[in-house]
Amino acid sequence: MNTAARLAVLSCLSAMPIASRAVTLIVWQGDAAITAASLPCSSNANERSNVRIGDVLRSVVRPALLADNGNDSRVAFIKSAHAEFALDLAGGLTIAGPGTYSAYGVTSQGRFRTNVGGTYQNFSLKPATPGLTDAFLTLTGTVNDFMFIPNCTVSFRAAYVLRP
Amino acid sequence: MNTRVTLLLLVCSISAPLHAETAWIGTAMITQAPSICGNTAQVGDFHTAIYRPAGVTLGNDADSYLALISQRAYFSMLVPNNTFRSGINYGSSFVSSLLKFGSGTGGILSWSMSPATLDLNVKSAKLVFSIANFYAIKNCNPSFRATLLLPD
Repeated sequence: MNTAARLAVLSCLSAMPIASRAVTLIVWQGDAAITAASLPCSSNANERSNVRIGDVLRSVVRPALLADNGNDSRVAFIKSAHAEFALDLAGGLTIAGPGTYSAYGVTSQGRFRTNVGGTYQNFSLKPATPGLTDAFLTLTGTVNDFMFIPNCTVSFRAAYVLRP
Repeated sequence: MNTRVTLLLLVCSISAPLHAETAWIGTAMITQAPSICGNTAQVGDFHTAIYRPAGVTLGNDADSYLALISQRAYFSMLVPNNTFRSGINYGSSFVSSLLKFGSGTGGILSWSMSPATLDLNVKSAKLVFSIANFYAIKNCNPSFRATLLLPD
């Protein structure tokens, strides 16, 4: 190839954007039934903030180390499309605990919260290290300061399906 | 003034807020969405809308929030020291349905609320608005039509 042609190819290549690989995140989506709730969970003046035994919240779970999910597992609870409480779990989805979490979410009054610390315990994900062939997951656990309510401790039982 | 009257006056002057924190809650439907939004915003999508305007008489502080919440995600906007209106900027915080934790900024491109100001006598309101950078996607600027109710 002569110099002119080489220069032409080079300048063409440098003008092309660097291709970016699409990020692949794998989540399971389902519901979490509240099986235990301490008194502060249902003592809010705003009824829409209250969490009680028998409530069923939408839940999404994202286990660590799968595709581009990253090093931390995450789980989110969404209450009636009014409020969300999403956790970055430092101790993972299977831990006797206590583990620490960092919470992000929105209250039932529309205010967002970021990087709020808390603790959780007795989390058990089944299967413990899910992959793309696991169509169903279950998760049980206990979370403190649930939905950003101080001293609200809940236990839950959740079941999920793999989102395609 | 005797002691009893003084004590009574002292107790009465420690007044509770007129109202606990106040927010209007309803539904926001997407009426327009550019193609750059992809699945994040499509015409006909419904979100729960929670509008918490600034105001001491509402039991709120000086900041206003508007949150758009779906079954599995939320996008919440904060306008500090002001209320939502055309031309104002917001800061956002969101968790996507794939559990990405994010933040961003954008502008309120248009805002038309009826009645124009919300107070504790406004039991329901209508709102038509559009924003820039929904879920921090540059130029994803959807338009919404919303109804709001005062639940308490």
